Order: sequence, then structure tokens, then C-alpha cells
Amino acid sequence: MKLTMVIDLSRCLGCWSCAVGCKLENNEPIGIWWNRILTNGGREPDTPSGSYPDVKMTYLPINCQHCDNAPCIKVCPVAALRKRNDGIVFLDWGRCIGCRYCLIACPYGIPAFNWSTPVQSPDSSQFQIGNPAVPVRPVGVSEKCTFCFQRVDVGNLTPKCIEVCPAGARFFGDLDDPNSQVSQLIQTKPTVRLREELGTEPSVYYVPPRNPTIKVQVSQT
Amino acid sequence: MKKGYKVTTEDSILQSLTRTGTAFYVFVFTLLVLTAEFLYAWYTQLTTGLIVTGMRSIYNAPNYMGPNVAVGSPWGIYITNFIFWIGISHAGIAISASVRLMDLKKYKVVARMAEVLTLVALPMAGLSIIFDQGRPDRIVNLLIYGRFQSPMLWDLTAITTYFIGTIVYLYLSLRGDIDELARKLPRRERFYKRLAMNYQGTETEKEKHNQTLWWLALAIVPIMVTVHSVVSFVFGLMIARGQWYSTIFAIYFVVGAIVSGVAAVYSLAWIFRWLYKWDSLITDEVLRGISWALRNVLIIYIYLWIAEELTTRYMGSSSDLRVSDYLWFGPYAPIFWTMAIVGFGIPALILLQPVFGKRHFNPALTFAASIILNVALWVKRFTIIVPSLLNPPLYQTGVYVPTLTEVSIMLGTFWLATLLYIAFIKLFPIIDLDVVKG
Amino acid sequence: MVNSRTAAVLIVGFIILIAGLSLWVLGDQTSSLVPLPLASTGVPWAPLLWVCGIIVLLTSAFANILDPKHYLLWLVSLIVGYLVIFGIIVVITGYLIP
Repeated sequence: MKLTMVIDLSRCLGCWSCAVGCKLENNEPIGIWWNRILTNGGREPDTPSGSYPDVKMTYLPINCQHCDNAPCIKVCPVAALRKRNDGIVFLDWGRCIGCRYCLIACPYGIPAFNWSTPVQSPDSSQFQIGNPAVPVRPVGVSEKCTFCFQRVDVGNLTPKCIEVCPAGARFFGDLDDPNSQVSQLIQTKPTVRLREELGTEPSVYYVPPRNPTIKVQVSQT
Repeated sequence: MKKGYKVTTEDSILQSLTRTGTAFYVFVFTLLVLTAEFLYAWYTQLTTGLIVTGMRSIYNAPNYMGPNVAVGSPWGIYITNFIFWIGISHAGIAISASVRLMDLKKYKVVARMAEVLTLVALPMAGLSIIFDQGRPDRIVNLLIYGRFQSPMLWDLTAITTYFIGTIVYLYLSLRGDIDELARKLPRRERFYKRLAMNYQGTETEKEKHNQTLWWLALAIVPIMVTVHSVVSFVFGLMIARGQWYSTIFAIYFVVGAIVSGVAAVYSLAWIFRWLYKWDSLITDEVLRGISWALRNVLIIYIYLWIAEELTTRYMGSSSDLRVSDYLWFGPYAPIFWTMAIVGFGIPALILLQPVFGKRHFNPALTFAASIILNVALWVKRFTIIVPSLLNPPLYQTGVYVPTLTEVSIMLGTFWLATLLYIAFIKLFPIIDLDVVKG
Repeated sequence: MVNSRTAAVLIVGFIILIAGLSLWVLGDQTSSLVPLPLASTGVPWAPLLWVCGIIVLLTSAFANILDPKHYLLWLVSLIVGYLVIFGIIVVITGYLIP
């Protein structure tokens, strides 16, 4: 079993629904995002590169790539990061000593760190918004995307981000199963993975955007 | 003890144990006040979290729901400080190896002060790491679940080995003097007699000590090389970071550590010579010899540094060049160039003077050079760690400014190191009494 | 050439060191995909065992010089002292961290 995610960048709107869904599901505190949408374009988010009218912009949702050859697992001094048999790279918040070596080693800048006592908004002790199966992490530990292990383990559900994407840009499944959606997509579409030259063997594939150039038509009135 | 007492007897060496003037009390009191401030800063950090520092994750969102992002450096001056103290710790074995293995007896006079420096520097390195952990209350996990595939466990193992080895070495070389002190300082006789652990003082016993110390010195040399190599591997094996993933890192760091260590030994030797008027013990010849060694390792270090810079800038990968550009032309550029020109250039010029004739050797000027060099090396390690972390591929360039609390905590290692060193010189002679026995 | 007491301590030290390292490796779950073991959790406390092995190895310098009572005093002090340092840090910081 090799859990894999495919993200179709030609469909991604940059709406952040996946990021927000993830944040709520996993009780992420203020300031921490396990899932982020980077703008491939200008310096500021949601701004294009180039000059008008030839402007270019696409979005790149990025979360833990759950690499097969993960640098974060290699460097963790206490084996808080472990690879499960289904491919999920899991960070054990109970064991993490907060050395932040995984933040250093990850080529994708994924792990987040609780620099202060985490504050959920709304307060998770009063309103149960997120999944109670995901514990609130204490100050001083790292955390990152878990492919929603709590949903995968119980009832074979997909991660929350897959479920909430309004554009149907995200897919999830078992790469070892040739009939799964992800296997089909990877076989039929020209997928790429991030920073593949590093040899990390990530489990997240991206279908490149069809046409990043937005031609702006000025109306002739 | 008369002021300006220059006779090379044991009493002169024992000044550090017997002489306690007002200046001493003022100095120690100041250190205690500074230590109290450091402890308060650390208390703040423990109760609030590492947010009191300037460090931040690679990707942070500010405290409102929005995609505006900031990039920070997850490691900062604590890790810099760790590498610095490991570098200083190379003082001990550098001198002891020369004295025992290469039979350069004239440096025996500075051997003990170098070894004590190592003894004090290694715990300070460990303390710097403790400051950096998000959950220091879980560090026992290193002993329960520690993965030896992780460079950090190589650090733990190597540093533990070096530290215990130094303790064993220091005790064996100190034992004869401890026994001597039991006779010379009758008020503390019981303390020294117990510590001497049935030392007989016979010729055969002394010979056994010297033999064992020889083997121990031999064993500690590869340990020393391993220690700083594994510290370098924490960075040098990181394929993800620009300007870090480099084969040169191990030897680069080891040579840098030897420069740090030898410079620190020179500084200490000069300070003690000045403080206790030991001009006839720590002669100009000894100081010139240390500065000769310092000059040579500094040249090797600068050569490796040039090789690193050339490799990056000639045809470096985009991530390497981005980091190098940031360092050379970005916000830290004034710090970098000052460090390079003033921090390394001036000491290099001072150290090169004796090449043109013995009379050009100026001990006091060389002392200034040794201090400037160690400050520059601290900054150098900062410029290795932080710029790379502030320029992560896939993200924009970040910002790192250490906070006052962070600096207070970091400086705490210096106050503690000084206090521990003073405690040693009040209990044991900082120069091996064998030196004056002929 | 090497004194028998020193040799005995060296051998014991090596055994403890190798035992610690082996227990960690044997408790490992090697992934078939990559050469370096991932997802590893060796036998707990194996690292402490190999650190103790190193300490014993280094005290071999005392083996032929100190009498047995003082040698044991040093050995126990070093190992207990090492653990006490960890203990003090864990207890004090554990009390302060929220």
C-alpha cells in the first residue's frame, strides 16, 4: 500500500479551501498551516509575474510530500518521524524534542513548529470543530501534514483537503493499486514531482498547469 | 605574595589559589549578576516558548487568517554558539597532543590551561543545544530512542566521548599536583588527600601515569577530529540547503576549530602571564610558538574558505548562488565584509609580522589578534548557518534578528564558562607543577 | 604489553558498546525501498547502553593506576553524573514549560 496524492494544477483556483479544511480538521493553531498555497507569479500572494498585458500566475498547493527517501526521517534524533507501512510519514508529537532538525532537512520547508503555546481559534476546548482523534500539540514540538491518518485509518476516508476542494483538483489513493484514480492519472497525465533531482521520492504528484499565461483582452470602447 | 614576584618557584604558580584580592571579588560579583540576568532570560524562554527568540519556521503565517507569509530561520545564535564552543574545545587536545605525542616539552606550561578550557567548553556547547530545544524536558528521549542514523546522535556520542576522555586525562595529569597541594596547603589537606586517591608519588607510579597519558592523548586525537566532523555533518549532509551540501565541510570545520582553539589558548596564556607576572614561565618563545601554529592553521582555513567561495560563485547551483548573493550583498553584507576584512584580515596581518624577524613579534598585539579572531570565527559560523536557512528554495527570502532575551541566554554560556574556569584555578594549579621541577 | 586489568576493562567496555549498538540495529525495521533504515525504533535505552560502553572504555585508563575501590568510585560517578545531568535538566525544564 502506497498512499499517493495527485494535485491537478490546471484546476487549482488558489482558493485555500484545502488549507482551511486541513487547518480545521487537524486542530491547527493560529500561525500554523500544514497545507499552504504558494503563488507562482509575483512577490505578493495572488499577484502575477510579468508586466501587463502579458502576466503569468499559477498556484502551487504544497503539503508534506511523504517522501519514500525522506530527509526528515533520516535526521530525526529520536525517531519521532517514522514511515508507516502505507507510506505516511508520521511525526510523533509525544516524542518530539523540538530540535527542528526536520525543518532544516526538509527540501520543501514543510514542518511547522510551535514557537509558543498553541492557540486554536475557535478555542478547541470549548468548540469541537476539528477531529477529536487529532490531539492538540503542546508548545515546543514540530508538526506537519499526516495525510489525515485519522481519516485513512478509520473508514478508509481520504484526507480532508481532497474532500473540500471545490475544483476537484486533488486526488488520493493507493499507487500500488493499478485501478485507483491516482494510478490512472499518473499513467495518463504528464505528472511531475517537486525537486525530484534531490532523490527524495515524494508521494505527491502534480499535473502541470495547462497554460500559465493569462492574456488580458482590453475591450475596444 | 609580593607584587611583581618573578621567581619561578611553585609558590608563584600557586598564586592563583592563594591570592584573592578585591579585583577578584568585584569580577566574580559582576559575573554572578550577569548570570542571574541570563537565568531570568532562560526562565522567560522556558515559560513562554521559543517565540521569545528571533527564530521562526521556514513558513509562518502571521496571527491572522491570510496568505501573507513570512519566512524565518529555524536555527540561529544558539546553534552558532554550539559550534563556537565545540571549536574552542579543540584547544585542549591540540596542545596536549603536541606536548605528549610530539614531545614538544616547551609547551607543557600551557597544556593544563588548554585542557581546562576544553573541560569547560564542552558543557557550554551542550548547554547551547539545550537552549535551542523546544522541549528540553524530553531530552532523555535521546538516551531512550536516540537514532544513531541521525547526525545529532553522532554529536551526542562523540561529544560525550571527548568530554569523558578529557575528564580522565585531566585527572591523571592533575593527580601528582593534587598530592603536592595536600602538603603545600595544609588548610585544605583533607580535600586534596581524598581527591588524590592513594597517590604514592613513586617513580614507577609517575611513569605509569605518563605512559597512560601518552596513549590517552593518542586516542583523543581521532576523537577530536571526529567531534567536529560530526558537528559539520549536521549541516554538510543536508541536500536541501544551498551552500551547505558540500564535501569540504568536515575538514573546513575541523580546521576552523583548531584555529579557534589555538587562538583561545594564546589568549589564556597571555592573560595568565599578565595577571600573575609569569613572564619567565610563559616566555616570549612559548607565545611566539603558539602564534606560529595559529598563523599556519589560519592560512589553511582561509585557503579552504576561498575554495568554498570560488566553488559557489563560479558555476554554483541557483540555490547556492542565491545564498551567497544574500550574504555578500544582502542585509548581512556589512557584518560579513567587516568580519572578513577586519575580523580575519587584521589578525592575519598581525600574525604574519614575525615572518619578517623574531623581533617583530608583539605578544600584546598578537593577544588582540587572538581575541578578534575568535569573535570573527563566531560571526563566521553565524554566516554559514543563517543565510542558507533564510533562503529556502520554493520560498521567498526571510528575516532573522536575534532578540535581547536570546542574546542574554547565549551570553550566559560565557559567564558560566568564566565562573567555572575561575573555580578551577582557585582549586588547582593552572600550570603543571612538573614544569618548575626541572 | 597491555596490563591485564586495563585489558579486562577495555573488553568489558567494548562488549557493552557493541551490545548497545546491536540492540538498536536489531530493533530496527528496515524499509525495503531505501538502503538506510527508515522508520526505525530500536530497543529502548540502547543509546544509554552504548554511551555506558564508551564511558567504561575510557576509564580503562584508570584500570592499572587506581585501586579497585577508587576505580569503581570513578566509574559509578561518571555514569551516574552523566544521567544526573540529564535528570536535572528534564526535571527543572519540565516544571517550567507549560
